[in-house]
Amino acid sequence: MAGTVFTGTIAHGLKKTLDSVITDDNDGVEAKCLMPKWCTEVDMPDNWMDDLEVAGGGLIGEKTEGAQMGTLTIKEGYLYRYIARTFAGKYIVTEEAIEDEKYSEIIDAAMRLKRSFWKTVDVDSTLMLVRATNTSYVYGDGQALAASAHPLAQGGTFSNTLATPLSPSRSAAIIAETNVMQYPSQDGIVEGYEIKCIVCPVPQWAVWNSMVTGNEKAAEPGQFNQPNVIYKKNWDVVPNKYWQNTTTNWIGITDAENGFKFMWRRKPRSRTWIDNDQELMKYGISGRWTRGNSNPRSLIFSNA
Amino acid sequence: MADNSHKYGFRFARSLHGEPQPQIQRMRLASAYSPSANGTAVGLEVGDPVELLSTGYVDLCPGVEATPGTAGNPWGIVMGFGPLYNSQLGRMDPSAYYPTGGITYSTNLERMSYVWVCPVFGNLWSLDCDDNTTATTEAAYLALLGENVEHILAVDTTNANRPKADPFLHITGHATTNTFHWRIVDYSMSVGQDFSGKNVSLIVQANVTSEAPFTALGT
Repeated sequence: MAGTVFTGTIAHGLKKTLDSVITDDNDGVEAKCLMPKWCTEVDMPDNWMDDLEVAGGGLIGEKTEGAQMGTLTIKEGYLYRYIARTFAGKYIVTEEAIEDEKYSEIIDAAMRLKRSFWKTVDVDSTLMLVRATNTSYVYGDGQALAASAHPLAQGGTFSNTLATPLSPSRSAAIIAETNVMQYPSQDGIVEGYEIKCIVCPVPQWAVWNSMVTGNEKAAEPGQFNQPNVIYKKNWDVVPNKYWQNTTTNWIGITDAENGFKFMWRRKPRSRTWIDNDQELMKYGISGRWTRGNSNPRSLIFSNA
Repeated sequence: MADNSHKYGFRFARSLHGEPQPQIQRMRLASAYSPSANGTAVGLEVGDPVELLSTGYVDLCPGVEATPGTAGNPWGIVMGFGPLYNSQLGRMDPSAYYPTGGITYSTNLERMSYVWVCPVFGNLWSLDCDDNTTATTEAAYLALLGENVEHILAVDTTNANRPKADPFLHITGHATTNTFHWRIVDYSMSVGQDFSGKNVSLIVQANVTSEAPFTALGT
């Protein structure tokens, strides 16, 4: 609608004549939100929050008898700042339209706003995946979220993308897990993490669930007696229907801390108010949040 | 994320003067007025631009698709309709749109077709672009801000019972030409906007309108 709901806007809802009102599914939208399945929700007590990378000194050296021991260096890495953003929207409805409408489903401003809010949460959080390799959107270390050369605080780089992109398969999963198990920590020493969750565009849902994570045995023809090592890992698969700029990319989310974060500065707040001059009812919803990722070790990306 | 979903017509984005809602004026459509866009009979929808005529009526404001020199200047955007006369049933009916072919009320002024219009001047409007080749990145759209542009009535006859003018911004014609109707001031802040896809939504304000004192008389 262009701005305001008039009686004309709901012309067919002014008398009880309809069997059904076919409209958006506004029920349980918060429960259907995908974001909590792959992001960590945290509260944001201030307007901005900083995450700082600090790297320890790494390995210690062998010491000759009587000689002085070597000195290790703690080094500061990148600083990533989360700044709260505000999202809001409203419906403006004439009092005539409210007085005359006979179907609560037609205007249903409160539920429509709730749907808009939670859909926005999902779309906005998914933009992190959409833009994962986009160098216009860099994170604390100056690299895109998924890059082949994330700088390490003590020097050197590491990659959190597959060197050769792989379409979803059991072998792709094994290669990804193998890479993640050798990720370096902040100090550059191999730490090793484990994939906990696969987030993929919807067209990949069946392959991930049936071929990769859903079978105790290897699902490839001729290998049915071979154990499927990925099965025991109990990975969650989250097909993200809002990730639509690709059908081939996918991401493994690891157990490294401070990965994908969704920070709530203020949870959704609904308000209703009246403009008496024009006899308009207004229904608004707003919330404040930001999202980001402070640790590139929290993911492995296949940029197919 | 691929193509953006198309939202019909001009949408009230916000007022330039802080009014919290569109300021509505009651305007009239002439008896038997039959809107047409680029030679196709269409109806009048919420979100269509209208021009002010010297007769006092408003009609659909053509865009760049019109014969050169015949395009008028937009005066306002349709926000709603009063009850319209249904000649078959002989009564006034509430309606969400003005039908193709028009409504004849002749001299029965109690049957007059009223349309609620928000003046374009003083407000910012959202409208979708008609191609995704002129610009495909946020940076490319950024470069268009401050330039002028025309709208185009693309005509949507998908629903044969309710053909629509379907205005878009004719983004390929963006220029600094001072006679163009719209000034691009921003792009939509919707998080779902994919700048590589179709239907990128820009925010425009009026550059030339048929409102006094910019135009001495309506078309």
